[in-house]
Amino acid sequence: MITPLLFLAATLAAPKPTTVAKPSVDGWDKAFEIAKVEVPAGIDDQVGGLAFLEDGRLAVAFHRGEVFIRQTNGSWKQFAEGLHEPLGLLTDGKGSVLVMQRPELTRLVDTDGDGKADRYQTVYDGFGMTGNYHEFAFGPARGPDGALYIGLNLASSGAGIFKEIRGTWSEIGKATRENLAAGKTGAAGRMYGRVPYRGCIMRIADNGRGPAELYATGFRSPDGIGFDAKGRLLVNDNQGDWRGSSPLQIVTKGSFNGHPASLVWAPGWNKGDPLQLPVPELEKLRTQPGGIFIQSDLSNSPTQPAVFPATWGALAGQVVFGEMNAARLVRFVGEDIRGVHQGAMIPFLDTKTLRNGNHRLAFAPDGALHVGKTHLSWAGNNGIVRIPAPQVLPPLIESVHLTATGFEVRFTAAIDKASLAPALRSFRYKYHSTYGSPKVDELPLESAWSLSADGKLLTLPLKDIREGFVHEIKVAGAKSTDGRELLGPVAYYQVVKR
Amino acid sequence: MPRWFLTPILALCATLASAQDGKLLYEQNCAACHLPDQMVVGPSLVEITKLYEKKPKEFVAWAVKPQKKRNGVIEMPSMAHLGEANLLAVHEYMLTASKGLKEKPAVTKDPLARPARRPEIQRMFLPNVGPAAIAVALPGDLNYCFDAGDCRLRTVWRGNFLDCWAYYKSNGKAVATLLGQSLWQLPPDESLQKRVKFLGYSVDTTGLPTFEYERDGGQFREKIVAEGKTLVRRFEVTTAKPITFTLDDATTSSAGIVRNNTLTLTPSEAKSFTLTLRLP
Ligand code: HEC
Repeated sequence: MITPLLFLAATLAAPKPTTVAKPSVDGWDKAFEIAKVEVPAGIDDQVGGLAFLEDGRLAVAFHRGEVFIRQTNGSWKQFAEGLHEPLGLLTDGKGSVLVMQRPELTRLVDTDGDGKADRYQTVYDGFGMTGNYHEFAFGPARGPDGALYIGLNLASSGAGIFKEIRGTWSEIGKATRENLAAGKTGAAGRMYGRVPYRGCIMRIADNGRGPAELYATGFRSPDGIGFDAKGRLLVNDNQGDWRGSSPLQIVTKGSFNGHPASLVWAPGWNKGDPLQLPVPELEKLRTQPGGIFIQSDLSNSPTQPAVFPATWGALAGQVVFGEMNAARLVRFVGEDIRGVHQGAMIPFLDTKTLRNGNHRLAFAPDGALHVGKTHLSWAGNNGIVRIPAPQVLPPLIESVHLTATGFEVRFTAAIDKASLAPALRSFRYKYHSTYGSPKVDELPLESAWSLSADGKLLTLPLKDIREGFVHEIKVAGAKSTDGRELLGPVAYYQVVKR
Repeated sequence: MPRWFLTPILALCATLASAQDGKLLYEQNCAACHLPDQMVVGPSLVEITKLYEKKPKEFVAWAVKPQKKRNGVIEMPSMAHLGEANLLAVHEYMLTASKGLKEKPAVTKDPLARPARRPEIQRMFLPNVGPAAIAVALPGDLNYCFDAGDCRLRTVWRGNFLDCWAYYKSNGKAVATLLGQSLWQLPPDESLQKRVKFLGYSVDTTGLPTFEYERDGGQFREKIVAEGKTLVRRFEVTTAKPITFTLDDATTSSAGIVRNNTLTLTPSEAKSFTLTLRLP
């Protein structure tokens, strides 16, 4: 219900909404070519997993459980079928592919060399399933240690559970199994994880042949899981309860990453129902996100990370994420500050031509970025698009660096000083059980900025750099000295440590 | 009561002052789920206009705190972060964008429906079994479910295999329908889960699966074929100890001793035997 006062304020303040500068569509389309990739005929082309095999062919897992491989002549050949909602695919040497499906991590092996998998080997199914739709399983990502890492979703109170479940039921929690099986989810918490390892990251040693262990807790819906160029495990999560805006977690062994439900699976957990713990206590336990996908402005549902290869010039080694909700990708440029990895989120390929639903990302051997799309009845799309590495990068924010005195923003092209008008502010999100969060504790920032002689380095001295806050650096309207528009003219730097 | 009711007035004024263009806000925050003239994830702008044309306040209240109203759709996420003024701008835009448009029918049938390929294997949420189920269509007209959670044959039915549309069109909030006539079914027994470990399956050149699993320390291989009105389950078990099965009235064994419905096989008998399930 709207109070009269507020409604009045609204009518006064915004009878005719003011227009904001629209993100340019043309700039991105001039600088990058986004082309559709033909998909196999007669299938539901929502992409759950996508990777280039060692021999350069593209392998794709689709919504209804098929895996297809595109042959060198461009035709598609079916490699496997019958999987249950595959949501990740990883190469595994000649004739073998790893797929994460709802019930298990599976190795698909073509033992007789006819191009079709004839063995569906269960690599790991030691986690519980209640039959709740939201218990998606993501990954695998292969670490520098040769182990496989997967992410397991929590169940959603948007639905109950099956009568028959897999795994041992945890009695910790307000909702009873009987009530949940009857669809009464009221007491469960918005997201719940009452069977083993829901909400956790699992590690399976030796490329899946070794033992499995619980690696980290604290996730809600970790769709994007992967390693950066330096071997750090990056896992993002989706805005929601305990997620003011979608975070990027730099995950280390034994860490708790913010969503409390999975704490019941932490080794030696003895504090009862984690959903009942006071927020300050959880705040002490949790690892802060190293980056934040700003809701609405950047990403509402971030997805898979991929590392730019050498063909992408100045972006090589940086990370790019997909985004489901908007026609956009997001770059993450991180750095180590006093032992903590943190950094800036920057919009990328922010053009309608890309369309939304950007779910799985992989770079081809020639450097072309491939993006597989899905929606699963949420906001999204279907199909695959291909974006070749450009000959030259357009004007972009290349990196953002936190210094002792402020920020340094590096551009990929010389910027015309007259076009620069940096607008800065900092804000943060609430850490609470409520779904999402407004931006709070907002502070406009002033900076006596300067641009280097070569036009490529913007120095922003700042007095008020706050730990735990996003620092927004906007340079809308900036142009290169040769008159091209700076694409993606905003960076959101999450300061964990300063 | 909406959350922002409690937000300090100052913060609210900041949001109000930055009210943005309704079209852009719609494209950035709503278009992914709301098309002008067709129900996709959420209702069309045509339908929203019908509901809220003269009700901007109620529109804002919904967007701030969406309810569960329709069946078979996801929950709309709260748009509270946009603030009231912005939502009013979206309201105004939605009315204009739907002007003169008519509602297009939503897709109600599986556009990719096809008869089962026999044999065919599909892992799927199925009725009356555990969540890690595997459905198999056999040559002929028989179908079965093997549950990878307890490593047992659980269900047999005769007919056109599965209708998975309710699952496929959404995000898994539905169980597939078994098409045809149910012939046989085993009740749940979650205690078995601790005694088994599912290892996967291999697929022969005709497309039939052989399931592999451990049970009580023994290594099991099980292949299920149809022979007339029976299902024949061919086992090859490597075990150091005798193995047991609880048999129902419809099942007979090619080897071993049955006492009180419990079939016991010695390690050498277990090497190769069949269980035959008579079906109506
Ligand atoms: C992620 C998908 C999604 C997004 C984004 C979304 N909606 Fe919705 N919306 C839905 C769904 C689903 C429903 C139907 C919910 C139900 O009936 O249970 C709905 C219903 C509605 C309704 C109809 C309410 C009624 O009484 O039937 C309105 C109005 C609405 N949304 C407005 C908005 C506005 C405004 C935005 C953007 C600011 C928005 N929605 C963004 C999914 C979405």
